Amino acid sequence: MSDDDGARVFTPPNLLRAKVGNKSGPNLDQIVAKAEAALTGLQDDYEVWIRDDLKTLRDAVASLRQEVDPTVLERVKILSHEIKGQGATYGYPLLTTVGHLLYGFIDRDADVAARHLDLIDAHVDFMALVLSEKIDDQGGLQAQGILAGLEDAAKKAHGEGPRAAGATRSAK
Amino acid sequence: MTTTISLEALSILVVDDNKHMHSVVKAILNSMRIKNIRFSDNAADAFMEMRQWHPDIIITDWAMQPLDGLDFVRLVRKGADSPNPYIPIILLTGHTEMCRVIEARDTGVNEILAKPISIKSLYSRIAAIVQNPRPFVKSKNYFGPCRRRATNLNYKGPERRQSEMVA
Repeated sequence: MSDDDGARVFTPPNLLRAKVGNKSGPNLDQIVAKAEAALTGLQDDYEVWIRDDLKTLRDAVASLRQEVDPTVLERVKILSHEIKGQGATYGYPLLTTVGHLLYGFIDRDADVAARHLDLIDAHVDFMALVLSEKIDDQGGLQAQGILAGLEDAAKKAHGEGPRAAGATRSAK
Repeated sequence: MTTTISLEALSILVVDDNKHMHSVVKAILNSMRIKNIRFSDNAADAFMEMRQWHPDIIITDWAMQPLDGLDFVRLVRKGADSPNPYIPIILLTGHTEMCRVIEARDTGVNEILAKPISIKSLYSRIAAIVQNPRPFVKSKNYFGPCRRRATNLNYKGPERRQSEMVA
């Protein structure tokens, strides 16, 4: 690591250790249970927020059909990234997966994404379905089939062949 | 049953332009009995909070506008008017690709946490900052926490770091 040539290493005083002292906190299971209960309490709010986000996505795609504006497409990408980051936290891991797929589809090549607005709509439709059906896990075979279809369609749009049957999906 | 250290004395500044994430992080921090929390929507506001409130730790998102999380970290670490270049920073990100993680590490964050946030992971990152803080490195191209996570006992090359040469 040439960046370290002539580097000076030093240890600032650990003021935080002194500040927290030697007291024990709650055990980790208690922390997790309390946080999960609090997040469950926020789930109703989240469902309102995510519906607003889905409407924003639909409006953005409608706008893109009229005129391809890169800033609007970027907004769709950012919003899909936010959905990826929040879905599982609020008990919707499938929203995280679909958000991840949509973000990846646009991030890979925005010009390709702009030519395949129906595919963006298909991601949004699936997110709406997850929400309306309250699918709070990775879904059954049908859901996994839809995910595989979205992923294959994205690859095809980007000029790749579909996944091999039985291949593991890369999305987290 | 895993015991934890008490973190309730800590003050934490959360920097994120997404209000939903404020609620998420607050709920998780509260479960650790951390109540002294403030929120900023952007880097400029966060700088003001740092000057006036002096938080112990910053938790920042990467994807923000107009300045993103890494721009903010650069300002904290290297800005001439930084209120505290040494403050521990945890970066939240949905970008988990290795190149992005390396970029974040080279900017000077202490810890990186993937979204969706894992409650246990956030606790372990904060506890690591408190219990096992890494030394700081200042070189021509980098200022921030030491990026070496492990010591290679078989390393036989030249030592490039001044303090290690002295020791």
